[in-house]
This record gives sequence, C-alpha cells and structure tokens, in this order.
Amino acid sequence: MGKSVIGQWTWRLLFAGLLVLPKVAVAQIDPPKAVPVEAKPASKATCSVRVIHATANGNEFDARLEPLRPQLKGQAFQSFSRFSLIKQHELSIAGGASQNFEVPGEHQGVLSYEGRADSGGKQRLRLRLEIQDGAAKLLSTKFVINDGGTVMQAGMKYDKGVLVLGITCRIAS
Amino acid sequence: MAVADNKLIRLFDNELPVDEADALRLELSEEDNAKLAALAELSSSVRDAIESEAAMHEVDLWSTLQRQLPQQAPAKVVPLRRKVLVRTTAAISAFAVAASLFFALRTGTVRDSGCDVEELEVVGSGATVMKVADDRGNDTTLIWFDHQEEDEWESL
Repeated sequence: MGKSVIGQWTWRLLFAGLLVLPKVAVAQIDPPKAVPVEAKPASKATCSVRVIHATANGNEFDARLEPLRPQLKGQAFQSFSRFSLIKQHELSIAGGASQNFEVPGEHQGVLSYEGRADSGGKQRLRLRLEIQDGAAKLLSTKFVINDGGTVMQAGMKYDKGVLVLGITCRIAS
Repeated sequence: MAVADNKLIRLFDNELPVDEADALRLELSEEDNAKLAALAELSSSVRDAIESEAAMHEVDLWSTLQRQLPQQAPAKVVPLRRKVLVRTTAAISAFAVAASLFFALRTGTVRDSGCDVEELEVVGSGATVMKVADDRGNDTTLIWFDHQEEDEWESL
C-alpha cells in the first residue's frame, strides 16, 4: 500500500474545502476593467450609521463593533480604550433625498444620497453628511465611497469622551 | 489358484474397483493372504523408516520462502476509532477554513472604501481627514472634527 487510506481522505476533504474558497473570494473581487465615470440613475442607498462612544475609562469593546475593530483599535483612536455602540441607525435613502438621524448631545445628523458615481469599474456612491445643532450647521462634507464602503467621522465631545460615527453605505437598487 | 502378484499389489493399494476387490478377496488362498501380510509389514517398515529419517532432517520451507520474497515495509494498521477521528478532524478543518474565509470576506466586514472627500466645511478651528488602515491593509477615511465649546459655535 503506497498511500494510507486516511491520508487520501484527509487530502480529499481539505481539497474539497479549498474548492469552496475561490468562489467566495471571486465574489468579493471587483471587476478589473477600468472604465470611465458612468452616469447612472440615482437609485437608492441603504446606510448603516453606527453612533459610537469612545472614552479613556475602561477597556470594554462592544461586540457589535467588531467590523470596525481594526479602525477603532488603530493609532487614530489610541487615546481611547473603551468603545460602546450607542445606537445603530439603518437608513434607506432615495437618490437625491436625505434622512435624518439622532446624534447624542442634542445634535442631528443628515445623510443625503446624491447618486451613483461609478468609476474605475467600481460601483460608487456620492453622499453628503451634515451634523447640525438646531439650525446651526457644524459640519458639512461631500464624499464618494465604494459600494459597501465605510467612512468615519469623530471628534464631537460627549460624556467624558468623543462620539464616532461609522457610516457604511450600499447601493440598494 | 494363486492370484497374480500385480493384482495382489493393486488390492493392497486399494486400486481395484470395489466389486472386483470384494470378489478377489473371496478367492484369496493362504499363500495370497501371507503375501498381503508381508506387504503390510513391508509398508509399515518403510513408512516408519521414512518418518524417522524426516524427523532427523527437519525441513524449514517458510524461512527459505521468506528470504526469497521481496522486502516490504509492514503495512500500517490504524484502529478504526482513530481513522474516524482523523477523517472527522479533516472534515471539520476544511469546513472551518472555508467558513473563516467566508466570514472574513463577507459584506458585513468593512471593505476598502476608496473614499474621496470632495467637500468639507466645519465651524471652529478645523478638521483633519486621515486614512485609517485596517488589519488587511484597507484604508478607511476618518474625518476628525475638532469640536468647539458650545458658546463658540456659529453656523456655516
């Protein structure tokens, strides 16, 4: 017997498992073709807005923030050791429309979806974020992100710490 | 009448058909019976002699054959329980690898954002735009807004 039966089965099973991976990986890879900016209909976007409280007291890390752990545990937030999710807003925003969401400290966030901004073969979204205090506008920014991408905003003081917004948006239709 | 010697020998050796042997036995004379008895005695003596000779020279065929066989490593004998355990471990490992990569690559995790900030206006002393790398080398854009005291706010 040149090769044991167990060895054969072990390799067969490992090989079968590895066969699954390329399919998963390929699903995540963006098309390689470079295409110019395309004019697409505004469609609709779905956005998750995580409102996070970062403080220097304690070492707890909210399990619901796992997708953002690498960023929150990075150098930019090295002054903070405790991260908790205050609220997660799920917004569905039509093209050209806005959705408001509550920001602690009697502030209000406004997220606007200005439409698709595909480029380089990637599906991209153009969004505007505003943070308001009543009628006063504290911050206003327009940005373009990849479909499923995340942008973070931080710095507003709140309860012996700061507020961090993690905004992840996807094209819905 | 005396039976021919060759027939007697065949009778002794049980080489005759049964009916012929039975018929022949009825015809045996005293001389024939004496010849049969002598044959029996001779046969017994020869058998004893051969057996004693064989006992003196024991033949070991197996060791000779074994030397002639091609050398092979002894086959591995694995208990069934261990076999099943190894197979199960392999199956679980394969599944775990596939599952961990699936979870690592699924859409729930933060992907490369490719964020381009086109406009940024803030009140107060300003804001900083920085790239925060995750453990897979993807960048996430962070807009750090230097928060002002309430009485310093003014609308954009």
